[in-house]
Amino acid sequence: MSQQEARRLVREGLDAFGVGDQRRAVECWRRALELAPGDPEARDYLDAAATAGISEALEAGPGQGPALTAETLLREARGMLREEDPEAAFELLLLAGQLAPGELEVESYLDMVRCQLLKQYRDRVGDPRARIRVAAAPDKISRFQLAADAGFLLSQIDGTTNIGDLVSLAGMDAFQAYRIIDRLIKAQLVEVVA
Amino acid sequence: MGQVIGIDLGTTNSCVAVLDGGKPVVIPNAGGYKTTPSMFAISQDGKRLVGYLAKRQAITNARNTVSAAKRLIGRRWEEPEVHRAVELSSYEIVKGANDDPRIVLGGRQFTCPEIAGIVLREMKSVAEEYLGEPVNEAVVTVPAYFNDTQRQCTKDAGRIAGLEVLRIINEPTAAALAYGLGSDREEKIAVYDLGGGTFDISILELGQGVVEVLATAGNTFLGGEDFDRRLVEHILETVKQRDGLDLRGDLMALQRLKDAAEKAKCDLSSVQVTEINLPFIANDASGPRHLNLDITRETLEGLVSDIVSQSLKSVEECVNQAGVRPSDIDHVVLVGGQTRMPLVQKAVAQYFGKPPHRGVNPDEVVATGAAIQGAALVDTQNQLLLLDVTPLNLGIATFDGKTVTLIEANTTIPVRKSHMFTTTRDDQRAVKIRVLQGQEERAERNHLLGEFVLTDIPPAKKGVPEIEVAFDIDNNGIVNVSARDLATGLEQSIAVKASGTLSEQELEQLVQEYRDGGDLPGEKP
Repeated sequence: MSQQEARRLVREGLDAFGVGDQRRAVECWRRALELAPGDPEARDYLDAAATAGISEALEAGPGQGPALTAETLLREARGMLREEDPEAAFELLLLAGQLAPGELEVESYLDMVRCQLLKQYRDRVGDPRARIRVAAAPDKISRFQLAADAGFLLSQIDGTTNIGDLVSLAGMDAFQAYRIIDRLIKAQLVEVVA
Repeated sequence: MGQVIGIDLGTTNSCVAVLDGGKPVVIPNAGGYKTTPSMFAISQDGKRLVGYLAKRQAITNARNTVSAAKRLIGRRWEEPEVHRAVELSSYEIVKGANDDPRIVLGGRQFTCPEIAGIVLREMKSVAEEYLGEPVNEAVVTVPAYFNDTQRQCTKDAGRIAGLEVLRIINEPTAAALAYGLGSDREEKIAVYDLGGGTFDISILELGQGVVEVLATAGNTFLGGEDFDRRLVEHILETVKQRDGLDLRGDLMALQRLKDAAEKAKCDLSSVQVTEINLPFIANDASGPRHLNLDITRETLEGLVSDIVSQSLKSVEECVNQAGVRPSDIDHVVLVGGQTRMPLVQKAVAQYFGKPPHRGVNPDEVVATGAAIQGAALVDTQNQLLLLDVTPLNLGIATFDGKTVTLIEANTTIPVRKSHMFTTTRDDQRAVKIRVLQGQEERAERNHLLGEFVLTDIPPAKKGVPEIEVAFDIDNNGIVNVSARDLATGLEQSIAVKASGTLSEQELEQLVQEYRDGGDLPGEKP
């Protein structure tokens, strides 16, 4: 039940962020993390908010800290890229995209970072000809908060399919598929068979 | 010399077998499965997927995934079967240059022999992986009712796959071979073949090594997939009512559900209850949703009993056509994975009043028979061969629109018959001949195999020239024609080219394209 509530809060936070209510967004993500410690999405959004100085500004009180606009987030994202942290930059850019849908510069950066990340994911995941298999028991998996697309991909991992084929049959773009596989490996739910 | 493999090129699934140490072995694919879906897809990232990989993305990438291309092979665009497939298929089917249906995948047109060739090539590589050596020769099975064009196209598919098809045999004949039936005394056999997408019933008479097809019937749009569809619908409705979860329209959820339903259906052939458990099937405001549902055999049987009854109507029709009674049937052979279902076995046993044969897996029985035939073809010591008969009359069209039969249906093949042609006008230099296959009296109701023109007839009064035209049906059921002018003794080279088949040039081009790895132009390997 608490996990379901956490998911609801993550989405509520995103909705709040989309309409410019950063305070409520951060509150939602914090509560989500309290309810479901380790929830990757809540953690990512909070990290992104911290990186962008949003959390700090909120704590400093009204009128303090940077103005929380797409421009601010874009600037912070550029900083993250300089620090070679495209993952954080990507989260910031997603948030920027929520604030300014269709903004060309944000979209260009998103495309660029997506390419960088895809390369990183591919490097980390390894040889696409290698097989991948489930590494966790069903009860452990069920404790995770997986989105339906991650659930779909996980269901296709049968121990005989190689990574390249898995990406091809995933029914999603390569970035999304590799991102999910990378996260599933990090969470030790799946493993690449040497 | 390499081994000859036997391939059951099915509408839904294909299977490959070989004789190893005198015993038939059904060869598993890389995933460990002994059957491989006859499916081909171009994935969203431009990759070619064959077999299980294609099947696992068939719903999420329906537009670019082809299944059941066998229903279309060797058919003309105008045929009702083609139009039904156009209506029901999720992929695009267009009219090809040879009046044949072609399939559009990833923006490229594929001919049906090409799709079949891709599946055959997959089966070839499954066999090569197992045998550890190249395989170049095969026996391929086809439905008993396939006409010359469909058989020719299947042979062409083999060539595209890099296989020499030594023999094309009828599926029910292969099933009979697998059980070693008909070698001693005369027997009547019913072969009930309920595959994934088609249902065929054949009544055979076997004796002295010859298989006569007394009658065939069936439904090319009825099979195990209809059972799956009913179960999926039931699950969708149940979770909607019970959990308020509407998964219609969610392609990823439907893909998982379809796979799970098929597995549950198979499980229910051996257990009374099975569980469908699909975690993280969807997300909503409350978070991840999971699908858990128990399905009983009774529920499944209730969902599909009318489909089984429908198949029995075809059985009745076939038995009547064959002029026999159910009690005249000596053996009942089940073919196709769907016949594992106890309800199907019970219904068939009740109809014929005897239990069906057991011993060979129903989804492997046809490939097993093909492998036995393949080994016999290269083994000079092996005397046991079942000879097929031609399934349809072969004839020519007369000037008044009728058909003159030259070789009757159920004639043992190979067979050769000749017919004398002459002219109807003085100094006539050419005669056009239309070759037909079918049982109808009117020419236009039969299948036009092709037409040719006899040329260079020496000028003479009408009725004087004597041109002997010989019609052969070879071991594969494929028609060949040759002509000889009796006055001059000169042979004429005649190519009977049916519409719907590939020209030699097109075929050779495809063979070249696929020879070295087979990557298609503009496509990622």
